[in-house]
Amino acid sequence: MIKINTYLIEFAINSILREKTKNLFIFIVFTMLIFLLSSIFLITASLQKELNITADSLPDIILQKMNAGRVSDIDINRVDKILEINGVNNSVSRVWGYYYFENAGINFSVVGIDQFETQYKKSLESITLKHDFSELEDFMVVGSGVKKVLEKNYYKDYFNFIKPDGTFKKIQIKAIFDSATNLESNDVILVSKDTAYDIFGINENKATDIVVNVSNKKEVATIAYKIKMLFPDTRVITKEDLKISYTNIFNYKSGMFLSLFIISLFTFFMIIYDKSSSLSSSAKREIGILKALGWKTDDILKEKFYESFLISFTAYIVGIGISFIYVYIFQAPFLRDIFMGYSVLKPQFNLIFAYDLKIFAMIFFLSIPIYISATIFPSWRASIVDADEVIR
Amino acid sequence: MNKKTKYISYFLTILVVGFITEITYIKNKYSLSIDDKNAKNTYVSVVGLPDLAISTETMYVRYRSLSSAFEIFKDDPTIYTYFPSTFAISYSGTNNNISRIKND
Repeated sequence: MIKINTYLIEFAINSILREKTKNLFIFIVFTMLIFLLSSIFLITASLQKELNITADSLPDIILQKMNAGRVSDIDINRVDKILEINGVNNSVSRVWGYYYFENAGINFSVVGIDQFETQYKKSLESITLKHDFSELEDFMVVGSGVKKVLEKNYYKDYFNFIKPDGTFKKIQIKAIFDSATNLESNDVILVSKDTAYDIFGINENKATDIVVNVSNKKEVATIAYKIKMLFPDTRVITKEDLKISYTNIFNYKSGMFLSLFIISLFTFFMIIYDKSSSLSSSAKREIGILKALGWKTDDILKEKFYESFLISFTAYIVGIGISFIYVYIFQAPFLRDIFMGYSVLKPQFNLIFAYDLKIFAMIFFLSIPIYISATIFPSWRASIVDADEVIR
Repeated sequence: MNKKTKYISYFLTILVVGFITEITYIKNKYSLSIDDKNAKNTYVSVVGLPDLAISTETMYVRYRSLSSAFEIFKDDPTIYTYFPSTFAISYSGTNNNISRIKND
């Protein structure tokens, strides 16, 4: 069993207290660095969790027609050909797109669904604030962001869409999406498929894209390949592709921040190292006296280790602790804007609890051992020199 | 064990216990409830579109996974609103808040 010399710990504590100001400054800077990086990773983890929760409800395969490298409308008769492929559970054409609202300078996402069929009605009732879907007239369900913008522009109960030919299409606002779905539905306007065709002026034989669901999830890649072979002019996106896309987005963001952090962290360590390597005469004399009193180099290094470990470990725990409070209790003001667009249609949402232990382990190993070595090394250099030479 | 070592060990224990308590509290209070999770999943299964509404101003970002590279040019040929590099930078309000057509 390793025996810890508690007198060395006591000496380390006294040593920290002797240079209160210097150590307090190091502690604050260290805590801030840990806090910043940890906060960014917590926000990333939270948004990624949010995406992953809903990823399983997405269609297995999405099919887009590419024309001259651009996405263009797809023929709906392709749906029947896709349904003939073994293993395909269902295939539906979709109509959706963006509607630019001039007055506010905002893009709405307009999504058309099949004339509010029974299963949709039930689903809609569970995710909207108003529960009356008995009348099947032209109406729309809007996200809370859309509702706010429309109200600001004096559209309280309805909205006039301007069709491509310049005529108006008046649609009643029937319901608002539940606030729980704010992060997903803030800019969305849900209308019937016929209305969507009308608003966008799309030919009724065409659709924006086609979605495919597969019975056996292990067959998704094979079926995606078969569809690609059947329609070479299409882009086939699987659910896995979408998940990878999400990971890339947030890894890029947090990765950029990590690289900035590493630069600042190493600058901090260089300053510490530089300060410690030109140890002040009093610090050198202290080491010399300790050696003259019979301390071994080993003991001096141990004492320095305790000293730096106490500072860095406390800073690590406090930094991570503050970051949890900052991100989840205060909802990360300022920092969460790094992940948000500049849009005026910002959703009101709460960051949900998520963390990644690997990240905290990475922050730990990136910061604490390096700090400890940056402080121990200069002390070791001073302690291997003869005591009388150091004192002199 | 001497007095100061005792104090520091108490301090570190309190620090770690406090940290664990804090995480447990936040986990219980800020985790997603089952109702909210169901609502999100129902919404996504009805609408069928991925991605979060955190960047609604640009079409290639809103449904990034379903957009094409050319869409970037549609809003601005200089691509200075290109997603990963510019989120922290405040965007010029002229493009967003007031209609460009009306301005012209």
